[in-house]
This record gives sequence, structure tokens and C-alpha cells, in this order.
Amino acid sequence: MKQLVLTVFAAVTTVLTAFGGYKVGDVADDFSLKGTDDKIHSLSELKDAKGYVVIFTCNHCPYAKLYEDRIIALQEEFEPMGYPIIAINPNDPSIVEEDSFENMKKRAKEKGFNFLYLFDEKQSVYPKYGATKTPHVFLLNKERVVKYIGAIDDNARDASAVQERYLANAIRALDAGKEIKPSVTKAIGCSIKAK
Amino acid sequence: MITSRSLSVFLCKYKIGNDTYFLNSGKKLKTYSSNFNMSGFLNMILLGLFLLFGKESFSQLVVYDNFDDFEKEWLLERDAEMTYVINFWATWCVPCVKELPYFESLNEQYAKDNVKVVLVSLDFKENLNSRLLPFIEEKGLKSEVILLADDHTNDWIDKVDTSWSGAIPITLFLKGEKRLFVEKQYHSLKELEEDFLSIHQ
Repeated sequence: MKQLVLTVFAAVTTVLTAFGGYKVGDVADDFSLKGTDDKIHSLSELKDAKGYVVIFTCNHCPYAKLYEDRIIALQEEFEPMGYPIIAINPNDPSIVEEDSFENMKKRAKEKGFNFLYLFDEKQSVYPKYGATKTPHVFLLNKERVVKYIGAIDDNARDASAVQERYLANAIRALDAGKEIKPSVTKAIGCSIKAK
Repeated sequence: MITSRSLSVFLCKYKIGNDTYFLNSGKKLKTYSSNFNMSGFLNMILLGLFLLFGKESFSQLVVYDNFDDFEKEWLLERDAEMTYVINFWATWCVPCVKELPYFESLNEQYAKDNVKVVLVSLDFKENLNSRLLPFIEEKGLKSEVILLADDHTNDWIDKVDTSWSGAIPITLFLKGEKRLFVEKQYHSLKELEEDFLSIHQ
């Protein structure tokens, strides 16, 4: 009996994990989160945007760090086209101190982040999106329909060895009204830290 | 005094760039570059010393540059009688490091019971000497550690499990046709053992 209960529990857990969060085609919710500029930001304030590049990322994760410069470059490349990057730190700083709001501010300053870096302090946004790790990208169109979910490119470790810029390709396809392929990719990342 | 582990670090230091493989249970070399050079020569001398004085229970560390090789050896061509507990982790992953002791306990407890605990490190290959090997030594890990260094994660994450998001830690329990994939951090040995026993029995 105990075995059965465990099995059922495992199955339910699996199902919940598999179906939690947005899939391509879903309409994503807007949010209001505090940024490293101490102001509250939401997608709706970005009036000129043709789409939104929401990236769950953080300070401490080595994979997130590896992508910092590439995210800055993506903002330079795509914000003028109407696709701004909105980075969100989803981690609980009581678990990883490096991801505290103060440290976010510090990091943004040190690296000269040219994009919004917001704090999901109540940890209410990332579960809705279904983000599980950092970095984890959700590309939305103007109507906030999810168009692409996954990785920034195909090589976290070595930017010079990248063969496919998944996110950049997806933004260009979205902008051109073409099919986004692939629309879902996977990469290794740091699990989001929650209690 | 040369310990088995420090020797492995030494061997490794000069062998990066080739596919670096290590000693297998202190008896023989799995793969070894044959290009003669001075450091290689020194390695051979040290190897000789090691074979004379080395411990029997030296653990190996194999590097897989290609997921397919890992898959073949650990997922496809498995021993049907054996229960495999395959944990994906990395030295930089805090929750992974926290749960490692439970895997070590499991390994110790069930070692004589047809159980194999495999710790698949996703550390970057360039950190093998600077982080992974020192970590293994410092923690005194007894379970088998391997390094999976295939950068093309999008090509292989689904082959481990289609439900895997890519976050670590994860654990795969395998026995014959039975399989359990768990994407979470274990907070106790009891919790790990429950999942393990659901497959092991």
C-alpha cells in the first residue's frame, strides 16, 4: 500500500512538474517587479516593444555568469529593433546570499547591465512562467504570447564555439513573421532556489 | 608521499587535451596517450611508483566528451541485474553538493547488493584539475565519479529524460526495465532511499 501511495505521489509530482508553467502559444501574465534602479517595472510600460525577452537569471550561477556578456550584447542588438531584455532574478537570497537585491544592484553596476534587472522577491512570477533554472528564456510577442522557451544559444561554456544562436534566431524569425524553429530548447542551468 | 589521488591529479595535469582517462582500480590504465615527451615520461615513472605502492581501491574518473558514449555505457548497455543510481551534479551546484552525502551513504550501505551509484559531474572540463579532482579528494568521495563534458546540451538532455528541464541536481534510478527520474534535491537519506527502494526491489 505504501508503495502504491508513493508511486501515485511520484506520478502526481511528475505531472505537476510537466504541466506547470507556460508552453509556446500560451499568453504570459505581465508583472510588477522592483528593478536594480529601485523603480517598479512591468512589461506594459515598454510601449514601443514589439516583443519581450524575459530571461530568468541571477548573480551566483556559473551558467548565468557565462551569459552576462552575451545578454548585454543581445540587448544592444535587439532592443533597438523593439525586443528589449527583461532579466528577472527568481532566487531566494536567504538560500544564496549572492542573489540578494543589494548584490543584484552591485552586479548590474559592475557589469554595466544595459537591460532591466528585476527581483522576483515574492517568488510569484517564475512559477507562473514555469522557469526552473537560470538562465531560462521566454520570448513573448507584443500580445505576450509565448513564442520561444529555452536557452540563449547552444554553447554555454564557450561563446566562441556557438553554432546556433537560438534566441537571436527566434527574435529574428518573430520579427519577420516566420516560424520559430526550434521553439523549445534545453540547457543545463542552476535550479531556482526556493524554500 | 604520493597518494593515489594526488597522482591522478598529476597524471591529469599533463594529459588534458587528449581524452584523459585514468587508472582503473589501481591495476591498469584505461587509455593513455602514447606520445613520448618529458612530462609523459615522468608520468610513467610515477605510474610505476603508483603500481608498486598504490592502493587497491583507487577510483577512476572517466571523461565523456560525447553523450552517446556515456549513454551507451551507462544507460543502454547496463547490467540487467544491477540497480543504477545516476546522479547529475556539479561542484558549483550548491543543492547538488548538499545532497551528495546521502548518495555516498547509499553507496556504502548497498555496495554489496548489486547497486551502483554513479555521480555524473557536469563541471566544465577545464575545471577538472582545479575544481573537480580536488573536490573529490577533499570530500573523500567513494562513489564512482565521471565527467560528462558534452557542450551540446540541447542534443542530449531529452535523451536522459524528456521531462528534464536542464536544472540540476537530478537523479535517475534504473534497474532492468524499471526507471525513475527525479528532478529535485534530496533533503535526507530516507527520502533518497524511498525512491531508490521503489526501483531496487
